[in-house]
Amino acid sequence: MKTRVSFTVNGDTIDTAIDVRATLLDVLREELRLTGTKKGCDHGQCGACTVLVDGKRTLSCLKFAASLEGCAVLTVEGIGKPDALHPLQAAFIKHDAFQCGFCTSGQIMSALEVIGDPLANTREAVREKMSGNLCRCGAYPNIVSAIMEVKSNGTV
Amino acid sequence: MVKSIGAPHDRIDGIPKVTGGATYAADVKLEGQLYAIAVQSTIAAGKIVTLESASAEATPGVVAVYSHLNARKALTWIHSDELLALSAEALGLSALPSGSSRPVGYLPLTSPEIYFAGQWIAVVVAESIEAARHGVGRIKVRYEVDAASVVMNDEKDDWIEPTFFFGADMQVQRGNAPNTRHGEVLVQETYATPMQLHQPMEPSATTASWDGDEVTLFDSTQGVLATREYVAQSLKVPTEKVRVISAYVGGGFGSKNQVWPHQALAAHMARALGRPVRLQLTRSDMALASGHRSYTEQDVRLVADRDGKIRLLQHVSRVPTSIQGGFFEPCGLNSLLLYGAETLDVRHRVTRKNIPTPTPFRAPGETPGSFALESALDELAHTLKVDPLELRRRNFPSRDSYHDRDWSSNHLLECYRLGAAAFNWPGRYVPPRSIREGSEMVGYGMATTAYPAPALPATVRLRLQVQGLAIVETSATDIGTGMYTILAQTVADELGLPVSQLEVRLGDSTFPNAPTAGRSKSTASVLPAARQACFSLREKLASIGAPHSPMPQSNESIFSLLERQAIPELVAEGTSAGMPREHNLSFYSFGAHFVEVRVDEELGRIRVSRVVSAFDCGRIINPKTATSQIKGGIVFGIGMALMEQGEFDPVYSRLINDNLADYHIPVNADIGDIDVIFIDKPDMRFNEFGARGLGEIGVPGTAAAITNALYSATGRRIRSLPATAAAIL
Ligand code: FES
Ligand code: FES
Repeated sequence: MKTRVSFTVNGDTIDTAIDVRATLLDVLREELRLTGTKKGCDHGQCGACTVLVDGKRTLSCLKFAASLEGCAVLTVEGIGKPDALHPLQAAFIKHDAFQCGFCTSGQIMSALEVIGDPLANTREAVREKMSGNLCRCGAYPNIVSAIMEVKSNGTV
Repeated sequence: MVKSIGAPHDRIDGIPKVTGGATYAADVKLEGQLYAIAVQSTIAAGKIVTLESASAEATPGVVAVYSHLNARKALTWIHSDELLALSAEALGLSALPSGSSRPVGYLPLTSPEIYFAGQWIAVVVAESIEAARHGVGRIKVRYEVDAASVVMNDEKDDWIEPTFFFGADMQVQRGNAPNTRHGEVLVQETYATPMQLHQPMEPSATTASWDGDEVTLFDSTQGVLATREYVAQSLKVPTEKVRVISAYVGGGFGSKNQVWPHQALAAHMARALGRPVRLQLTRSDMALASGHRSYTEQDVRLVADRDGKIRLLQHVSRVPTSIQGGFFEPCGLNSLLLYGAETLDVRHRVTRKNIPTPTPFRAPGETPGSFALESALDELAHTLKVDPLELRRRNFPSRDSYHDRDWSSNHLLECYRLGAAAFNWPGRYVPPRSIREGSEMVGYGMATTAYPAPALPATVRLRLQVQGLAIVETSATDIGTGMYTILAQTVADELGLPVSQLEVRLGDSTFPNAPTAGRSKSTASVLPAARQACFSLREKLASIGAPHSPMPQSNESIFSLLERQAIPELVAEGTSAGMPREHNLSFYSFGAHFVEVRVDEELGRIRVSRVVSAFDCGRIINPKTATSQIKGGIVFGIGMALMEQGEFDPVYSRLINDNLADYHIPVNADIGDIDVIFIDKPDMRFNEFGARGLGEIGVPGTAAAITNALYSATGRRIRSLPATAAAIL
């Protein structure tokens, strides 16, 4: 069964009929071909699929796309470009905050909320706030360093 | 020009990875592509009596259902000895003497027999992920259930004594039992490590697409050439008709090291259906269809002099493998080499269980083995009331006495010294329960780590293009290791080009031969080949008129030379030899971990507050990526020590925690400060870079250093991992 839904992704309006069973993650990846958002578990357990919905970080594998009427979705493709990186993207490279890179989009989208979080001002607090995003490569200390740098300077 | 090798260069694949532009296997979507999802067996032993797929097939969007009932005919899906030999099932099989019932390796959809819970019994192919998932739920199966066994029982099980594995005898008994009458000290304990799941963040996926009689696989594998060979054998097509592309791999840690059936199955289904097919493993499949590290039980007995010199080292491991496969954990490997006991008794016993086939997992053997060995050494130190570091110094292996060879280089003592200094190691015997800070008990623990340094032949191709680009190509993969970056650094130095003028292309089976990324061998295999390629390119340049200087003064010259000679592209290849020829040396890396833990005994809360680890891995090509890789290994060790444990249901023998909510891996909040020190002394007897790999060495020893620190903090000895709150309370 399909239903019509209208929302924006990275500022572009999407107005389309979608399978009611489809998650936002699968719509982003398979229909809109925005594959920067990753599927690590499909069950809300890893954070690889994190995007912002109306400015809040959201696990896109747990969100039915049909429920997004009127929402604004932001994915990793929408925050910076290879020649104009977002400061967080640049900081992730500088601090080597990834190895395989598979969790990275989700980490960066989560970090986007954390850099604006006034309660996350110490490494300890950032570690807590970033604990919904698993990284099996173990880049955690470097992820925290990247976030702390952007928090303190606003840039890299 | 500043040398690039040795510099902490940023990853050159950083931009695609932080912008979402890096294409992993499941990111590929081709015209007309179908989606496949597997159905798992719910029983652990027995037989499928009926499998009804009609209702699944009638589900809108479902295109096909394959099972043992139709796969042979519809997919030409046939098992053979040749296929078995190339598969993950075969690794270790030749080390396991078998009686009349020779195991043949499990291949799904070839028979109604069930060997373990979660075994694939059908695959549903559909137009969309949603439809495929819907179809999976509509498969109806009736089984005939047999008794299954997933837990070892020393007395009741049939035990196999493996012969030779990982280059070592699995049944070593050497030297005479020492005379124990003269006040020698004894440690005799049993240690246990849990079943562990690799859990790379990227679930394995294969997208297969045919063009005429050729097939291309977008795959997540650590080895594109091994995959190509297996898939070609399965399809019964010539190898060159199969192309495997793994430009980006979202971690592997061993789970993508061997070739698993899904990689061929995707190609078979795409052939039968005439459309591209993507078969992606679910997170549950990752626990069951791409290997794991088995649990282990290990008896260690140490006999030492009063001054701590170890006379006898006995290390007997009991480990399971699957009903049809061969891989088992060779836990005793490091016990053969470290500490130089004159009497060695290092043996392995294996039994078959209704579990999926285990597979290499970041430092197979060394990781669980070192937990037992390094814990036992700590127990010996506390029995003797000597500093555990001092005990290890007294037993330093100045040569590899097991193989009767010198080390190519061994700076383990330097690792002890620098690591201890950076950690501020007490440097005297500290009795357990000596340090309390507020509500927490504080403890210090340490352990040694060691890992072999292998190398295999590899070839690298260089393509110098007139527009000012040098392309580097080899089939090696970068699974997060930094291979893209260190190859660029190597070629940049040799050709005198900035890294920005290089483009490195990896993970394509049409590129020149390179070994699978595993067993810490890629750096030592691939970099010497890149250097050879640079030599050969420079020779070609010289023959067309470039000055034959080892380092061209300006990069303009080599490109403008091509322009002047109207050559659009100059191609050269270089090949490395693998291990050094005619050596009589042991090539090993070494290290030492120093750990501080803080334990709140009332809450049972354990924190690894500080880790300092020092490593002798030869020369470090890129300290930035090397440090990250080692830190990642230590994070694996922390997971093993404190939380990771695959658990089977006692009644149904199913893996209970086949997901990331119930199988815990470390999260950001679990990881405190990790300080990595490299001795950075080149091992010039190994290769011209003096570099040894470092993908695994961070893991062995970490768990023991943590539980040794827990003993120091609380006086409680943890001999069975993981050390959870329950073990402390
Ligand atoms: S894919 Fe959504 S949380 Fe893992
Ligand atoms: S970088 Fe590999 S999982 Fe985080």
